[in-house]
Amino acid sequence: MSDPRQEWHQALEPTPECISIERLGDERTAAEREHLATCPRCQAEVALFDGFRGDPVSAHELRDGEWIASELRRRAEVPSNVKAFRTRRFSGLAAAAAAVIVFGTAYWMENREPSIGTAIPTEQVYRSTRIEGLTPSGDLPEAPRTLQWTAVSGASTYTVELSSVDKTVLWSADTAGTSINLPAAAMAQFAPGKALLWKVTARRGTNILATSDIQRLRVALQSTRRSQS
Amino acid sequence: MDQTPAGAPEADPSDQQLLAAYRAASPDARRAAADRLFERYYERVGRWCQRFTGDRESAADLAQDVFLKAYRALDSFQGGSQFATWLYSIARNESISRSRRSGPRIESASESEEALIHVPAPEPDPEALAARSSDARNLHRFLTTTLDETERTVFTLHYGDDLPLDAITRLLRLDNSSGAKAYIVSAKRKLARAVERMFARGERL
Repeated sequence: MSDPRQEWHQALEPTPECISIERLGDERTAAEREHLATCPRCQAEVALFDGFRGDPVSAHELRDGEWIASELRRRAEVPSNVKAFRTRRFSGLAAAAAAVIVFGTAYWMENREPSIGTAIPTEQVYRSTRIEGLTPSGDLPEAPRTLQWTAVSGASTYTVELSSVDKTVLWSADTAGTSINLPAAAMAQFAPGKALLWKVTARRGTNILATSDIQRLRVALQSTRRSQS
Repeated sequence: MDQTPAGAPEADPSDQQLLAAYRAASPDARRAAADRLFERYYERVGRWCQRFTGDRESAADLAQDVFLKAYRALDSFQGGSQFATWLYSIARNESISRSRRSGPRIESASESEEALIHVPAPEPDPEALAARSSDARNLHRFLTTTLDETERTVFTLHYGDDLPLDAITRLLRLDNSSGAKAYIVSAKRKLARAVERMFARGERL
């Protein structure tokens, strides 16, 4: 017996007629209004979008918004790696922990028994680095020809996976670079209005160095029609 | 949507003007020009992220990732949509993607005593897209005629996007005591009854 939640998940995917997310702020055509009246998918997207642009907000939300904005400004002041600032307030604690680790490791190295060998796992994650800069993502005017991401230090190959929304891998390939041109087999997976997911895994040999967040892609119906005409 | 956030002085440049300034800026000045454009949306995006995550710290992390992605994609923004909507699409996709990464949040045992009904499996073959769309339209029509608007929206966000019920409660600003959970329970109950009536008439979903 299949999972009804998964069935509903797929049934509630956008159809080709659905309004593109990036058009939600525009004036709607008659066809879009007619579609919106009977499409729960688009109604839900409009409700979410209304929450984004919806003012007024409560005094509590205003205060929190101001706090988040000031936090973003503070983090933006960091010249290189902005994410490093997330841990600033723990810096004292982190320094103490680092000292314990350093001296503890030194003591252990000095006093340990000789190694008798270590089994090498076939696939090992060295660190929990995220691969950043994945493009494209979101709604697209046409099927992408190239996927790209930022380099991970020490990586020798990158495995790219294109999958359906139920995480079934539709196409996969390895490359040494930080981009890959999609072959016809991968391009064929794109259909107007159909959402696909893609991600990248950075490897050195059989070891996984880093993984990316999963990106969602969807090709708009209108542009596909134009390209077909 | 307005091209400048509510409350901004009239003399402020529009998003289009700031975008033009960004594109005309020298390489050294581009980051500052982008920041000037993004900064006017810090609060709005931050508030939306907070409704999504439920706390300020996580919302700041999420919003930071949103603006990082927006900055990296800014050169590809062609102006085919309003800048605010484009930025929202990044925030929405990043938020839902992050929610899905954190694992399934559907608490089937606690959210309702009723099971979720089965629906016809959509056709995964792209060539059968027309048939799939037809099935989807029938299901959408079934939801539209069976559920009220809030029930439909909560149901779609929970089962279509895997959004946690507490996030849906905040995002839709539901102020009833049990929030989105109450709408899910009533939606499933109504759907189950509607399916029973259909089967009694010899029809299928």
